[in-house]
Amino acid sequence: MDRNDGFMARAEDLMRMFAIAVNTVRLYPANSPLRENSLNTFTEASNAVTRIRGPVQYRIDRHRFIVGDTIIGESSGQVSALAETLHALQVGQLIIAPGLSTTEILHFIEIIGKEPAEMQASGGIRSTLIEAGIENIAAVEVSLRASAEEGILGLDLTTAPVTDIARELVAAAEEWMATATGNSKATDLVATALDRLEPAARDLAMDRCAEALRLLDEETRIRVLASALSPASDAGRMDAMLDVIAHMPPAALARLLRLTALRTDEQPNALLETLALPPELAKELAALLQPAAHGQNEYDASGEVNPAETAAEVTAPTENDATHTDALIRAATSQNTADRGLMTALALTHAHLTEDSIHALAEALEPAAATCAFDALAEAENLLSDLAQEPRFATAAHAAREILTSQTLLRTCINAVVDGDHTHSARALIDSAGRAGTEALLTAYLQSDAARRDRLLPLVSSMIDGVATVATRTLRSGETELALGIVNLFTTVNSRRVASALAIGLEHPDYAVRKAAILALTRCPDETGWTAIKRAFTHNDSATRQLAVRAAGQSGLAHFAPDLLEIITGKDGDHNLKKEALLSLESTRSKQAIPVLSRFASSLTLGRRNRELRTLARQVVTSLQSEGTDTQEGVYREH
Amino acid sequence: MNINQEMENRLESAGGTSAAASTAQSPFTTPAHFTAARALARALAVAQNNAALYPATHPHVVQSITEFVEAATMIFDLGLDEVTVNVYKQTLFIENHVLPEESVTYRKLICDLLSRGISALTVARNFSARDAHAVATMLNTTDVTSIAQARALLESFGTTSVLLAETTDLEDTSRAEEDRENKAVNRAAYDHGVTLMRDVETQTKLGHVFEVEPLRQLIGGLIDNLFRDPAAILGLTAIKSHDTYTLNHSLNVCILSLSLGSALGLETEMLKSLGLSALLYDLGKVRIPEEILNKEGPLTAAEWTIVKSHTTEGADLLKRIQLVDQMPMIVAYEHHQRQDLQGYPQPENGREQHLFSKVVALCDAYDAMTTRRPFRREIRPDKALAVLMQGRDKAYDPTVTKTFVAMLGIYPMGAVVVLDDSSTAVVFRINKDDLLRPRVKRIIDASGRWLEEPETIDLRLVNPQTGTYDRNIIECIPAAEAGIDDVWQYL
Repeated sequence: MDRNDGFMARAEDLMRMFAIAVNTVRLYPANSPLRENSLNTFTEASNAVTRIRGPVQYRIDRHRFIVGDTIIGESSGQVSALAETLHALQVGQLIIAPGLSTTEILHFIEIIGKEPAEMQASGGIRSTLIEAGIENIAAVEVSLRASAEEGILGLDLTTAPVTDIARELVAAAEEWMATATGNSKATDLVATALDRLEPAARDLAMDRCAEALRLLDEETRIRVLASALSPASDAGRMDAMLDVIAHMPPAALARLLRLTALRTDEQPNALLETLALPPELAKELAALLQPAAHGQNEYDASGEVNPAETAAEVTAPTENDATHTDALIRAATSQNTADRGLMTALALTHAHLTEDSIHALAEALEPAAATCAFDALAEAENLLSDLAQEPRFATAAHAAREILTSQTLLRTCINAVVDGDHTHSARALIDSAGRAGTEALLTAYLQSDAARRDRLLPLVSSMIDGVATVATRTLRSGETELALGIVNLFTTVNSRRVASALAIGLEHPDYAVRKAAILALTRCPDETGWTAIKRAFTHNDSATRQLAVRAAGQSGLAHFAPDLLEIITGKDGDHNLKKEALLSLESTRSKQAIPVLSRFASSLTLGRRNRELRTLARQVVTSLQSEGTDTQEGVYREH
Repeated sequence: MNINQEMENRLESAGGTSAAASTAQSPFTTPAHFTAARALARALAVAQNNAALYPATHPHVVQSITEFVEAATMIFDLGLDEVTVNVYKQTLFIENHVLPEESVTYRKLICDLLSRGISALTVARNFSARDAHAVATMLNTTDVTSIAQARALLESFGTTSVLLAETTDLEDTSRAEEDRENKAVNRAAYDHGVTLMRDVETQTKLGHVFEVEPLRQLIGGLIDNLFRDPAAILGLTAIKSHDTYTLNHSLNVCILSLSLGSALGLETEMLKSLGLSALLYDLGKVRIPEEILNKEGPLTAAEWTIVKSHTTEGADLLKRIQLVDQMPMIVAYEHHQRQDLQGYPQPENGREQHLFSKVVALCDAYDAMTTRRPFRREIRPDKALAVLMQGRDKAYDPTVTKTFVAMLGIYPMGAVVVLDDSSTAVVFRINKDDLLRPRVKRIIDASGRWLEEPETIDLRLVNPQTGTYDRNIIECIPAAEAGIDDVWQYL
């Protein structure tokens, strides 16, 4: 059986530490901390190993130690020296048992420091150790390994082949049965054999005896236990054998108890009580002997197993299986799971609403944003926006919402709108991002081609107030191209809500923008737009003034007439503007303008330009007085 | 010269226990492929036989040589670049697929191969009539008594599409040593994992944040070992501890999940994330009172509600590490939602579980079912797998479940089985080509005597005389019932 699982390495380490401790004790004075350190290190390591594995048995072969079949420590000078020392003292085996103390080690080191002859004279190392009260280190002398006695008493239980031990255990059980029925005291040979061993070797011997029992056939094993349980005339049982049996591994022991109980017509637990077991082990055995309810009810495992059918099914995967697996794997990439992460974080926030969960939600937003999980993001935004209203969570919620205003996310949202994916959620995210969303939308719109603009237009229209607000800076002083784009956008939207923004375009330094703005304003059927145009009548750029006046005329709105008349009759010397105003006035078809204009036309004046104006004014009056005349037929000409 | 170990290795690597390779099906599992394999064995034997009886130019010989080449070509047409005829313990295999009937019918072929020290004969693409003739001649030439002579003869024919294989004791020893080393390394990693998980549990109970990096390193190591020796890693899941059930269970679920993920074809980065998720998915249980978790007998409705909250509690704890990896949080939250979405917590918008959650749910159920608890008896592994199969489309994803069962085999590693000679054995390795016939280690003989050295038996092997399988599984039994405490030591 392979029980190595790193044990050899631990056994080797342990021996190395032992050798170091021996040398340190020998080399350093009693008050040296080095001594204490090395002793403590070895003691702790030793107990750590033996607590789990039981006693560790080292065989000594001149200058090396052997554990199982493995030679250890051969390359270490200190370990070799310790082996040689022990060999010289005729030690064949060294057994280290659980519960070792530093005092025991110190005594042991003292003892092995003696001369071999002196040791022999004092009765050998084994008896010296016993006399010194060392219980957890045993040294088995070479001379003890061969015995002239018969049966189990003639075996060294710590080293004899387990097959031999098994045979002798059976014989010992038979001897017990034979003597238990008589009047004299029953003979427990196992007890005698074990009693001869020092405590450190006894556990090991019992482990080996327990192992030997497993080499017996089940029938014999049951017989051995049944024999050991048979009371002698003094009502005693074969306790040493029962102790050996108690050293069997739990499941093997439970099986033995179960089968023996069947044979002896007793309850397994009654047999269990005859064994001296540590409480934990007794509990485990009790569980093994009287197991709890079967788990198959819990798992609905009532159906019969048909191995052949199952094997046929699982070894013939269908095309569907492959496709399904591929789909599952594709959906499992981190790219595709960020939204799931966000949904989980959302669920957690609902379940445990704390600042901590809002922070976690914020952390989940970033990967979700990076992977365009719009639906989940929109849901998170909804929740965060509600939480932002609650004073306890407002700070955390605002911080989390910041993530949703990143330009990268907003751009991807806008692209989604263009592509028609998750449109509702993406639109909601852009909208809820406030100014950042509007800016991103406007920028994207301006940078897009006609086709994309068409797809974005509904969203832009729905957010036109915000767009108008963020557009003001560009309209006032931004790049001409962008400003023109905005004016075009506003023209397309054709909403009176953009008039104020368009009016700001009149402040733009580039005439092209101002011109576009004025034309756009003329299409705004709104007081704000008219006012803006009227204001432009006094713009400091003459071309703009002229354009505004012309645009007023072009609008055909009588509403502009008073302002146009003011230009015409005013003292301002801009002759061309006055001419333009006359033409525009004609276009307004304002009958109310006739009296004032008539007075102006007939007023006396000097100079060629003034005469020209009055002549033109008369023509306009005539035009306005004529019925059914429209702008096409009037003096107004298309600019 | 010991050819057995080499054969075992070859048969294993051809499809054997590799979880990583388990997505690739054994090439001869479909009826058409199996027919082609049998045709090749027959053609080889007939070619040898006719070449022994008639001169090389005899029409029978010519025809049988042609058929030999055609049989090989038919296999190449199935997409293989080469095909190997293996002989292992007197049994004939094509690749790793046993041919029980042919093992009896073509005794002479088997004996002639083995007597020359040949345990495998591989024919590659471009296999020609000349090559076929060379093989037949080699098998019939009594002067050829060793593999070296066999190779020399093939070479004298100018053969380049035929390879012969044997093994040596040296390889055998080094392989055994390597296995031992791997086993020790894997065990050390497992024990280290238990220690780390104990620390995670302690830190979490104290309300501290645990370190993720050591866990990631652990998983990286497990993945490396999984790629190196998948069977050894999977075998670790046979380690059960009643004292540290939760910790061992986490490790076992992690290993099963990594193996299943690998079988599904996940890439290393995804495996790392899956491994971390599988290690931590049940962390929420630290917030559930132990008296409820370990209660013997049915839970009250209120207790059940508390138990169910371990999913959200776990996710709540794991949200702290989502910057490192979001999946542990997701898997902790979803792993009880079930395939039919009837589980808990109620899924959002009917969204199905993430693949990792499906994998972990399956591995969790399997390990829990096959582990004895104070309040519940374990279910034997074959039955547990049957339960999972029955739960397809209800609790578990059908395809993932099939892959899981195909990976573990009908009798998974560590399962204790009773053979038809009444002896007891532990399943040591599964055979991918025949999930019903794993390799086992017999540890208790029919009389209940424990063997000093377990005996390895490949249950695919057939009796040369009868043509029937040497040994059959009668039933699978719980390890404790057989008196076996620690099956891992036999794996």
